[in-house]
Parts: sequence; C-alpha cells; structure tokens
Amino acid sequence: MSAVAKKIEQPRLRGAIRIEEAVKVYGDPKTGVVAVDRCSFECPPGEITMVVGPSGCGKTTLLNAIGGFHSLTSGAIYLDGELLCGPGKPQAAPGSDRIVVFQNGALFPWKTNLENVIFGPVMQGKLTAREARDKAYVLMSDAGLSGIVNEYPGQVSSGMRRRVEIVRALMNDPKVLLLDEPYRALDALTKSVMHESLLQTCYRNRVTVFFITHDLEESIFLGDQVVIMTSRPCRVKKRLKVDLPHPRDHTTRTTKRFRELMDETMETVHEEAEKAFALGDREG
Amino acid sequence: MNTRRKGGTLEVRDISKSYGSGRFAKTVVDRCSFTVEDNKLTVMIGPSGSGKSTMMRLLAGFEQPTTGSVLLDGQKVTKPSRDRLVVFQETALYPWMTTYKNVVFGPESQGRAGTKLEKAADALIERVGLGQFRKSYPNQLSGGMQRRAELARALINDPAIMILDEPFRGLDAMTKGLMQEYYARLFENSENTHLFITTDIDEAIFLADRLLIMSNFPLRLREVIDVNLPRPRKLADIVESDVANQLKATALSLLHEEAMKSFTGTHSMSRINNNPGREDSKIGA
Amino acid sequence: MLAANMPTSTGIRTMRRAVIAIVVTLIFWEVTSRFGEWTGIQIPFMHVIPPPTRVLAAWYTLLGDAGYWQSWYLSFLRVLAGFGVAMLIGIPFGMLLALSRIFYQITFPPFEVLRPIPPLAWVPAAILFWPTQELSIAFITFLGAFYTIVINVIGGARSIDARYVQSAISMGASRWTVFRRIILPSTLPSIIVGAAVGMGITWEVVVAAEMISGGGSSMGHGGSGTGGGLGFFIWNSYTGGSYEQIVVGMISIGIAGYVSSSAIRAFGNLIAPWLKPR
Repeated sequence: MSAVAKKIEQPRLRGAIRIEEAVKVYGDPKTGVVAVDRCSFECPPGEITMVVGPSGCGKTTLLNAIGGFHSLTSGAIYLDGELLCGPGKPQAAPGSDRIVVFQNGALFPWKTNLENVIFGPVMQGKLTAREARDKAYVLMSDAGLSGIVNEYPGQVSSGMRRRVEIVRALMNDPKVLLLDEPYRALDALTKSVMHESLLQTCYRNRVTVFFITHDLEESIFLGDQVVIMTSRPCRVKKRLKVDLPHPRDHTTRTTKRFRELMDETMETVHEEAEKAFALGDREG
Repeated sequence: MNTRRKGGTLEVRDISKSYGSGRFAKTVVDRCSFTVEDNKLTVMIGPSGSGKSTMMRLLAGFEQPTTGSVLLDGQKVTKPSRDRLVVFQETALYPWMTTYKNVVFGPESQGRAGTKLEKAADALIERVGLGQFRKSYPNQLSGGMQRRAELARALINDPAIMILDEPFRGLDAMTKGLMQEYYARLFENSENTHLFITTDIDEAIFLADRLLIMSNFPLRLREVIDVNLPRPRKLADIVESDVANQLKATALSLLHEEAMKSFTGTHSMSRINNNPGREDSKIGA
Repeated sequence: MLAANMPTSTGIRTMRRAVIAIVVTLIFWEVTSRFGEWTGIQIPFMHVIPPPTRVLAAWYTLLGDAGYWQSWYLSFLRVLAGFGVAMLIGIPFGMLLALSRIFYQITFPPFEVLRPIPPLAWVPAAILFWPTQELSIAFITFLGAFYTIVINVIGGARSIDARYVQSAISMGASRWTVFRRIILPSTLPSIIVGAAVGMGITWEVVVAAEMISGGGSSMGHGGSGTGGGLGFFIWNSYTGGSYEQIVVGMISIGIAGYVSSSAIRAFGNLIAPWLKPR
C-alpha cells in the first residue's frame, strides 16, 4: 500500500478520554456511599478500552459521567483535551459525540429497525430523512443487517437488536461509543459472533470504545487495553495492553498468547469477583 | 420394590420433527442419529435457536418425533417417564412447595412415603448443600441453590438418563463456575447417564466425555468429538490443558460456522425465536 | 445496590406531597361549599355539596345510630352471600373451562354472550325471577363477582408453565395428582386476584342493586331513613334531603369495599406464602 493511500485510509483518530482522580460519592460527601474512588486512566483514541470488574463497583457511574448522565464529586474527565466535567462543572452535558448503548436495549418497539436507526439524526435535524436512510442502509449492510431492515425489533433475536443499537449509535458519528455490558444477556456462542461483528465495525469506523464488562475473555478478545477495577469502591487495580494482533477472530481465543493473557489476569479478576460475591453482588 | 437402575444407553435413530403441514411445514429437527452412552456425560452443543430444546423434548417424551425413534436400552420410548428426567434452563421448582416437598414429589407421586423416604430425601438435600434450606420456598433461594434443589429433585428418582437443558445459563459467573465443578463431581459419583445441553464451549469441554456438535436450525448432527480428559476434573486444569485448548479450537470453528448462519437474518429461525432456547410454552396455548 | 443506600428522602417527599394534596383538596371543598354562607356568592355546583365539616358531624351522629350499622351489616351480608356463591361455583367452573376442551366449546359461547350484560341490567329480571328481594339482590352481586372470577381462573389455569406439568408427569404423577398438586396451587394467585377484583365489583353492584330495588328489609328500622343496606341508605338520604348523609354513605361504601378487597389480599398472602418476594 503506497504511503499516500495509507494516509487517506487512516481517518483522524479522535475521542481520546482522560480520567483524572475521578471520585463519586452518593449522598453526604462524608458519610455516603463511595462508588468511585480516585480513578485515573486514559483511553487512547480509536482504540477499544475494556473496563472489567464485578457488578456494582462503580464502572457504570464512570460511563455515565463520560456520557453526561451523572456528575462527579471530584476529579475531572477530558475528551480530546477539552474538559468534559471537573471542578466547576461537575456534570458534562450529554452530546451526540458520546453515545451510550445500554444493557437492556432501548429500541422503540413500534418502529422498524430502520426507523429506529434514523430516528436520532432526523429528529435533531442533522440529516434529512433521505440522507439518513442512505447512511443507515450502508451501516446496516456493513453490520450484516440488511435482511432485517424493515422488521420490528420484537421480530428479531436479541443479538440482532444489539447490533441495530450499535448502528443507531454510529449514525451520529460519535467520537466515543460507551457500551455498558451490552452482551451480558446473550449466550456464549452468540456473544462470540457479536464480538467478531463489533471488531469488524470498529475496524471500519475507528471510533473510541469504552466497554464495560465482567467477562474477562470478552475483554481480552475485544480490547486493545484492559483496565481491571476493584470491587466497590472502584479503583484501578491493573491495566494492561493487549498485544494480540489485529484483525482478530474466534481463532484468536485459542492462541497461546491469548491464554497467557487470560492466565495473567484471571486471578486478579477472580479476587475482586470473590470480594463482590461476598458482599452479595452478582454479575453475569 | 425398587429396582435400582444403573444408567442406560439412549439411542436416537434418524429422528426428525416437523411442525405444520404442506407448504407451511417447518422442520426443526432433521434426521439426527446419535448415542448417549451408558454412564457417560454427553454434551450437546449448538447455536441458540438451533432446535436443541426441541430435541430435549423429544428425548424426554414431551413430544413425539415425526419420523425416527428414541430407544432406551433397546426399548422404544413414547412418553415421559422416570427413566428420563429433565432439569430445565429456567427453574421449574414448584413455587408453592418447600425444597423438601419439591424433592419428595416424585417418590410421593409413586406412592412412596414414610421415614425411609424422608431419610433418603434429607440425605440428598444435605448432599446438595441445602440442608439449611429444607423448608425454604424456591423464591427464597438463589439461582445456584435452585439449580441444586432441582438436581436433588431429579436424582432422588434415580433416573437412567438425566437430561439437563442449559441449566447454568443465566447464573452469575462466580456461581456458574462453582456449579459446573459441583455438577461434574455429582456426575462422577453417580451411575446415571447424563445428557447436557449448552451453548458454552468452555462448559462443554469441561464436562463432556463426548461432544455432539450440532448445526444451526434445522438441527442436524455436525460432528462427534470424544473428550478424553482425565477425571475427576477441575476447572483450573482444563484451562491450562493444551489438549482441551485444541479441542476448543476445533469445536469453536465448527460452531462459529454454524452460528454465522443466523447472522444476517435471512435464516428462517432468527425470525421465529426471539429468545432462542427458552421454554415459553403454556399449557393453554 | 447503591439505591438501597440512598436516603429515603424521596419516600418522605412523596408522602408529604400526598398529604398536602389531600389537605388542599379538603380545604378547597370546605371553602367552595361554604362560600355561599360566608359571602352570599354561591359557587356553581359546589354549593349544593355539603362541606366536609358538616359531613363529619353527621357521621359522628350516625355512629351512634343502630340503623346505620345495620345498613353496613345488611350490605355485607348480601356481598358475602353473592361473593361466596360466586367463588363456590366460579372456581370449579373456570377450571373446567380451562382444562376441558369439550366443556369449553360447549359452555363458553353462552357464557361469553351473557357476560357483556351488566349485572345491573339484570335487576328487573332478577326481581321477577327470584321469590324474595334478598335473593334478587344476592343474585346481582353474584353475577358481579362471578364473571370476574371465572375469567381470572381461566387465565390463571391456562398460563400454567407447561414445564411444571411435564416434570410432574415425568416423575410419575397421575392426572389427579397433577391437578391437585400442580394445577390448583398454580392457579391460586389468579384466583386471589379474581376474588379481590370480584369483591370490589360486588360492592359496586350491591349498592346500585339496593338503590334500585329499594332494598329495605323487614328488619330495618332505625332513625333517619336507615335500615336497608348502605345503598338504600344513600338513596334514602337523597330522597329525604339529608345531603350530608349521602356523602357519609358514599365514604362508608368506599371503606367497606376497600377493607373487603384488602382482607382478601391479606388472606391470599396467608395461604400463598410463596408469592411474597424474597
């Protein structure tokens, strides 16, 4: 590939996130519940950062803070160098540059998948209906969803619904995709297929991904970086770069390096899971 | 009189199941043949919505095959019986009965009663670690505990074949791991034949003596893989084993290929089943 | 998880708002009702309604009146009679409809044809048909509860998880055992719901039935037009011109209905302990 072609191919990477000493306390600052306790880490632009930890430990709070749905008690979050929330501005404003895809899905059951996907941009006036539809067709076909474009969400499997939601998010050309355990309810095999599909999407779109999960295998498979959190209150316990080569597919799961990475991190994750288990939290 | 069954061999011969007729006929299970060997743990694994639960119902006798037959030790099976008991994916413990009452339901329905039964039931309840919860109702038990109670309820009838349909799906990761090891131990110490249905390849390899790899809808048998890992098995050992990893690689490739068939939505099954693998049937339907 | 630790200020706030809303309504009622007395300007519609203070005064007086309590007694009697029979007939009837296809095909059509007829429309027919007035009223209350109970029982029996029955049969249970130990307990929640709702309907119906049929019984004499059940009490208060008593009657029936339904739900929780959340 010539140097020029390569340059054209590479879209400008954006969506770098920097979290600095983030703290979130619910209730009274002195006596309330500390959900997040001085978390600091970075999410490089265009990369997939997996945030792993037991449920209820505060990961979702961080995600929501980035998304603009929660405020921080102290600390700051920066997006591409600009302050999202921090001293003087405890809560970011939600925006289409940071889109959240939730666990339980929020497609409108009375709209078709296509209508769901174009809803946001059309409603906000960013695209005309025709432009939105054209764009949606392309994105959906990339995601292998062209067959169900005119079906209703209730008529397709949950794996498909998830994919529709991700397409819906991508319609807004976000800088950051915030995923909160989107594949939690899926069975292992469907999950594996979803993973491959998500990677394919990321290879095309190079959006920054902030992905919360409790599933270690998922995080090593998808992630460029894995941040392991402690149980509540959440702190960064360990960070590691996942040096598995791209493009990855299901065969990556059985490679030697993959298993080594699993080995390195499994104990750390289990330790925290056990603590959370003892506290009565459940994940999975 | 209690004839103690020591497992049995379940033979599936060219079995098919279709619903509807003529132009609207839908074949869910398409000419499957396999053997569930005596005293072994056979694991059936396939993508969601492939028809595994239908196969389970055929084997249990809740439904009749359209063609082909199911034989237990050479005898054709036509209806549900104590020989083949099912542990379902979602709990089917009777919510209005305590753990104890649930466990003794089977024997009581057969007319058994008395202290001997009570002792046997209590022993089994202890064995599954629910001694403290003898008088609890199912909704007071956690997911893992409910599964254990159901295992006890089935085992007390000493069935020749235990059929488990994705029993650990939906449990949290911690509990799932514990239950898998626990169940492996239970099997290794018993003399029944087990058929375990799942979509999780790690679970499958950990548990199986033999792996049946199924296709996507309609259900066909794709491949049979023997898993010769030593028993008793521990999760940690399997994770480290190269043999297990190789098996996983082989199986995963096949399964991925099959799972991808429902990827684009043109595959008929992805239309029908919104929650593949769920038992949503009601008696009045 | 975190929500459990959040302060209950939301709960207190909601409660406070509810109390304020009720108090404001009462004040509004009192003021608009009495406005004519105080200023000579009568507020349209509201001035004919007696103010809450007068209602309470009237109620206080009635509490000592045997006839008032007898109204309660009579209405309750009729409700229980109708409701009781509706349960006795309705539950088996509903179960049969749910479990036997043949029975359903024969019996459900006429049932469904009759069901849209409101119980109150039956009043004249009931008066003609039944020898005594009490029986007519009881019949109307019976109808009120009956349809609801049957429909709920059918729904409940139909929506039993097939796996309960399948596992029971696998384990060797006979049909009778399956019915007695699986189907019946499984349907219990629907029966309780049907009963609670049916009870509410019964109260609506008995009041109207009493008003229409002039439900005075030979037993009733108390002062102030009381003595024939709460419905009759209200109607009588209207014709007799004691408007405070109308409101007292209305509130009394509201309380009676609420108490009855709650009693059923409480009873339901008692016999179905497994339905309580963990």
